[in-house]
Amino acid sequence: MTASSTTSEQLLVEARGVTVQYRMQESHTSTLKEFVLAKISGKASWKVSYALKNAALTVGKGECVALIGHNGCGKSTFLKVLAGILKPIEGEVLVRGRVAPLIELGAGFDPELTGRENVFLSCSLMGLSRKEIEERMEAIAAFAELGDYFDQPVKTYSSGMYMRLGFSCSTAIDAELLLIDEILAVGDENFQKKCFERLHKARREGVSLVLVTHDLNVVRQIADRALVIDHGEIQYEGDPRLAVDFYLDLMEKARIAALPEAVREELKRQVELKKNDRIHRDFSRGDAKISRVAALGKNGSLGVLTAGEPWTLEIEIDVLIAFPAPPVIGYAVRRPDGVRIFGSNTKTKAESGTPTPQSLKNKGRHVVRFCFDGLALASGTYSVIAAVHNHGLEATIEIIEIAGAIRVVDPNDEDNFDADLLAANQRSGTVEFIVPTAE
Amino acid sequence: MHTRTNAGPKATVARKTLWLVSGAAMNSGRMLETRSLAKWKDLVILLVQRDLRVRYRGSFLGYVWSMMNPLLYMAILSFVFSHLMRVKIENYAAFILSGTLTWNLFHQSLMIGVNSILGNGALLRKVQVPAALFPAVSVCSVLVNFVLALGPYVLIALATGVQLTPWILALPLVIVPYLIFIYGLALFVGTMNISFRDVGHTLEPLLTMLFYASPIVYPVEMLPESYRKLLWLNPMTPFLTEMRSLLFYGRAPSAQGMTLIFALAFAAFVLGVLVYRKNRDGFVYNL
Repeated sequence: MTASSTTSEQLLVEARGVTVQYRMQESHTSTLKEFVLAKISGKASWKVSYALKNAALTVGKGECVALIGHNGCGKSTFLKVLAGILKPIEGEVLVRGRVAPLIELGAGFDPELTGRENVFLSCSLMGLSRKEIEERMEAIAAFAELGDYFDQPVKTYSSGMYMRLGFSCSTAIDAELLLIDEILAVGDENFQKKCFERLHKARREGVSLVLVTHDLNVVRQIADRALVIDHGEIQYEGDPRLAVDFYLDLMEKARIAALPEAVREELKRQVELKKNDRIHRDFSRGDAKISRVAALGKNGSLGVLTAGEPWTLEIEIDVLIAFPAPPVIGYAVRRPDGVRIFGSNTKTKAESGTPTPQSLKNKGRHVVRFCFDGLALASGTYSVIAAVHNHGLEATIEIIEIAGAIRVVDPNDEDNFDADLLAANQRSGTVEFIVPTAE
Repeated sequence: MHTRTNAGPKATVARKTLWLVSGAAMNSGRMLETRSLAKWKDLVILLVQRDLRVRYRGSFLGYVWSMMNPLLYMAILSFVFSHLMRVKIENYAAFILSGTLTWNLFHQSLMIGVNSILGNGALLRKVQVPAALFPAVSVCSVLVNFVLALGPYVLIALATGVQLTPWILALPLVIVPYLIFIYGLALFVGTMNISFRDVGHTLEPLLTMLFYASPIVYPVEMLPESYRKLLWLNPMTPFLTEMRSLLFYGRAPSAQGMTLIFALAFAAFVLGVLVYRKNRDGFVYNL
C-alpha cells in the first residue's frame, strides 16, 4: 500500500473504466403531456449510444497528454469528465490539485458586464476568491491587451478580444492541471503564439496538460504521450508520433471504408495490376540486394556527422543476376516525422554529368558513393531510405525504408531550436562508383 | 475500486483531492469540492451582482424600480379593494404593502429560480459548478429587492399611522426560514423545469391563483369561518401571517405559527434537495 500510494501521489489524474452514455429519445418528449403519453403507451424508448467506453487515463506531474481522434469520438467528453462537468455512468475519476478547464474560452462571461467584472465572475467560477482575483487582475489585464476596453461591456468586444480575455483568465488561476479543448485553433497568429508561449511556460513550471486537438503537429511537438480514441474507445496509447501514425492509418481505413463499393474495387484492381506488371519483366524483386548503407563524416565517423562539414553516403549492393541495363541506385533522407527532405539517384546524376558505368549491370558487389561538400542539416536524427530500381525507374528491385540513421551534431545549435529550418536539397553533390573488375 | 475511495483520506489530506467521481457511489462520492465557504460567498455575491447589474442595465432609475414597483402595485390594489370593493380595513395601504412585499419575495424568487438552472446551462456545460447555486443566487437577488423595498414601507407605515414596534427588528427570525422555504421550492421547480419545460409555463398561473388564495389583500379573519380552515392548508398563510404580525401589527410572532414556519421550511428544503440530488447528474445531458 505504501509503495502504491507514493506513486499515486505523483499522479494528478487517475481515471479508470470511465463509461459515458448518451441517451437519445427516439420520440422526443420535452413536455409533460408527451412524456406521460409515451410512458403509458410504452413508447418511451431510448437509443443508447456510448460516448466513452471503459476509458482509462493517468496523468503524472508535468506531463502533457494529447487526446486525438475523429470528430465525435468522445475526446471532448473525456475532457469534460476529467473537468468534473460530466458524470460518467461507470468508472472512477480521481483528480488532484487545482484544475483549469479551458473547454471554451470565456466560459461564464456575461456580455452585459465589463471585462473587469467578467474576470471576477469567470475566475470566481473557476474557484478563486475575490482577494486572489484582485491580486491577479493586473496580470490578467496585461496579458489580454485590451487597453481601455477592459472596462467596457464585453458585448462591444471583437471575437479576438473576447478570446484573449478568456485565455488570460483561464491561465491566471495557477492550475496544476490544464484541460484544453481545441481552443488554440482560434485566434490570430500573434495570439496563438502568445498562448503557446504561456503553455510552454506552464509546462516548464511543472503544470500538467491534457490536450484535445486536431492539430497533429502540436501533438508531435508538445505531447509526451498521446491517446487515440475511436468511437468512444481508446485504441492506442503511447508515443505521440506513433499515435499520430496510428490515427492517420485509422482515418485512411475509415476513408476507404466510406468509399462506394465500385471505387474500392477499382482501387484493388489497380494494386493487382501493378503487381502483375512486375512479374512480366526479365528481372524480379530481390534480384539485387542492398548489403550496406553508411553515412561517413570527415574523419570517417560512421553515422555521426557534423553540420556544415563534408560527408559521404555509401551504398553497397549485391547484384545477383545480369541486368539488361545498369540499375538505378537512389537514396532519400527523412526527417524524424517521416517527411523526406532530399534525395537523389544515379539516373539524375547521369543526367547532370556523371554517367553510370555499364558494368553496374553485371553480377557482383558494387559500391555507390554520394559525396556532399557540406551538410546543411540542423541537429537531430534523420533516417535514410535506399533503393535499387530498374534502368527505366519503372520497377523497384529492392528498397530499405530505414537503411540507416544519421545523427547530426551542430556545435552551434545543440538544442535544435530551428529543426524546421531545414536546409535546401543537396542534389549538387557528386557521385562515385566502385565496380568489380571485369572477369 | 472502492478501497481506493476509502483509502483516499490520507492522500486527500496530503495533496488535497479536488474531486472524486465514482460511478457506483452515485451521490455520496461525488465531487468533494474543496472550495472554502468564503469562496462560495464571493461567487454568490458576484453572481447576484451580475443578476442585478444585468437587470437594471440601461434603465434610468435602476434600483429605484425595486422600491417603486411594490408601491405602484400597492396603489392599484388599495384603490381597487378599498374604493371599488369597499373593503374596510384600517391603514389598508400599509396592510397591502406588508403582504405584497412578503409575497413578492416568494413570487419573484420562484419566477426567476424556475429558469435559473436552465438559463445557466451554457455555464454548467463548461465549468464545474453545482447547479444548485443558481436558484440560491435568484433568491438572494430578490432578497436585495425586498430589503430595498422595506424603506418605503416604513415611510408609508409611519405616514399612515401604523404603530411600528421593536418587533420589526425580529424580522430575520421569520425571513430566514422563509428564504429556506423559498430556496427549497425554487430548487425544486428549477430542477423539474429541466426535464419538463412545462413547469416554467405552468408556474405563472399557479402563482396567480395562490396569490388570491393567500391572505395578502385580505386578513384571515375576513373569511367565513368555514373557509378559514382551508386557508391554513395554504403553506403561504403562516409566513404571511407572521410577517404581517411583525411588520404591520407590531405583535410578537405566535409560537404555533413559528413552529409551522420552520416545519414548512424544512419540508420544502428537503423536497428541493432530494429532487435535485436525484436529477443533477443528468443536467448536463438535458440542458
